Amino acid sequence: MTLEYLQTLFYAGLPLWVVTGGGLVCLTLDFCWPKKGGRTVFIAGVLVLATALTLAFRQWALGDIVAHDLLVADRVTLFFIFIVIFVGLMSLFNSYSYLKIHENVSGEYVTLTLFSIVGMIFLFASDHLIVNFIGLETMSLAIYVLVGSNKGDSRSNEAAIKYYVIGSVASAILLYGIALLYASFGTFRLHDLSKMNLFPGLEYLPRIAVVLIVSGFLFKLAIVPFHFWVPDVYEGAPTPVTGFMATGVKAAALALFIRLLTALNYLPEGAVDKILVICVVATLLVGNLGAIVQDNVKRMLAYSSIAHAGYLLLGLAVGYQDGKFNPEAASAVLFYLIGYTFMTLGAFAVLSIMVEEKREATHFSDLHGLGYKRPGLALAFTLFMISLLGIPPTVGFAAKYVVFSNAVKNGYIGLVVLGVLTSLISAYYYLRPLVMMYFSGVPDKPRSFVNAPIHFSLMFSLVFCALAVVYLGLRPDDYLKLAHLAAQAFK
Amino acid sequence: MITIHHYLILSALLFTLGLLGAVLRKNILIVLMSIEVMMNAINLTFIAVSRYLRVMDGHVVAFFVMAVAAAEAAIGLAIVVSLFRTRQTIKTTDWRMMRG
Repeated sequence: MTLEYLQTLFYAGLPLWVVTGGGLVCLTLDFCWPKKGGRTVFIAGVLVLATALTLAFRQWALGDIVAHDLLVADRVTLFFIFIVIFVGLMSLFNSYSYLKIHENVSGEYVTLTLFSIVGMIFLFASDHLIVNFIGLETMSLAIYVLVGSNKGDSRSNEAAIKYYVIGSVASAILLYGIALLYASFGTFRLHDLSKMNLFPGLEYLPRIAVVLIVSGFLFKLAIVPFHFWVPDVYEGAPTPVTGFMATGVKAAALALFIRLLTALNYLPEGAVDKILVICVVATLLVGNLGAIVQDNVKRMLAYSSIAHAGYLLLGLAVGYQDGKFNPEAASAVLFYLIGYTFMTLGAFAVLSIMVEEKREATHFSDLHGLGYKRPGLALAFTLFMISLLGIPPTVGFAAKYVVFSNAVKNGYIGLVVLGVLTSLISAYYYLRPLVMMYFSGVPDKPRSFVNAPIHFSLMFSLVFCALAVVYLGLRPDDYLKLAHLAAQAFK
Repeated sequence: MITIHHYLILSALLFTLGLLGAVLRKNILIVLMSIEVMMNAINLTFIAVSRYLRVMDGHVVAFFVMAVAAAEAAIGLAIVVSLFRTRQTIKTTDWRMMRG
């Protein structure tokens, strides 16, 4: 433990330390002004995340790359740090007016958001499996509470307990996998684990371990055999929290999932490819077909997020060969993740407005006539829907195009056909809200949220996401280059 | 003579027991206890292996896992209390407002 070592550790993790310290400061602020602190704490939280984002950019620009054992800060890690901090920032913007309507503006909300971001970063920014696990738990515990933060609403409580039980079981399964890896090789370091050879006659132990760890992550990513909790939890959670979960948790879990698949090569050759392909096919079918029959927009978006996880996994599956990811395919996945983040956050920003008398009004029928009463809002929602569907000139199209063209290049024609067909199916449920907004007349008694003014912070995130969706759709080159630069770490 | 295998088998059994309890039981408090059993089974693995290999990391990790399990239990109980206030029941089969 030399001074120099501590210094590098300090600079490498600067965004992380800022968010951690900021979370504590927010907690203290809330404690000092229990009555009127909510607004102050919100501003403090936004400032903290903005500072962390700037510091992460600085590190990226300076090329200040550190690969210590406990704290890895290479390009791909920094890329995911951008994404989760950005998601946290946008979720705070989305949630302020929502919480205000529910008379629930509190410092805890901000603090828990910040701490869950710390957990997300620790989840993937480390080479030590136990640090990753503690990050996972920090993230999950904070999010369990956020999901149940509408204390008087029994739906929110029910979602919290469902997520809690399923999430804890998934974490325990994951941890047992880690324990079995430790039992077989005596180390927690991914770097060391990737160099280990199987003992003849004892192959089954690390193999079981890998299966347990991977299934734990498929739970968090909501890939099909482990997706059953998603619709209920996403529907019951407060809308801004749902947006946070659908983007942040998925991005963080994906980041470590990629790292794990490259490090732990104990399964027989070709087995991982097969598992991934089967999961992709099942996820695409279940996600897209399940969304058709929903009559709640939030639930529909839950299934849509399952489907999009399927497209992300498709991008990974086609790039995985002999325990390595092809950087080209990985960069397509990273770009897809950027696009998915913007469009999903935007869609949930619109849904955060749809609140009536302290209850969420997110049924399809609540959208009646929105296109005439609130043309701007309806236009933004239309934009996010066609982006999720994948129609040009939005980022959804560019992202799907990049992923599918990579799949064709690697010879996975069948998967691409399936991907295109399921995208066609998804047109039905993504276009239904538009029919409701524009072609089903204006109701005599519109919902109260239709006439309520939109808070500045929510407006900001709406406009930002909408512009990003269009800009990235028209000029994806720069961000593709960025994703490509990040994906070089897989070489 | 008790060897490492005995410990590993015992912890695997305990883990399976906890998993079955968490999946099959209807009383939410039993489910929470089953999750604790799973965590402690994992701890047993860590400590047995660590002792067998004569290294310290496993022992240290066991403490981290205990802390995580304690935090998890605290949050779980808080959620159950809050749910009980709105629903007046702790049977998991009664919580079916959302389904599909």
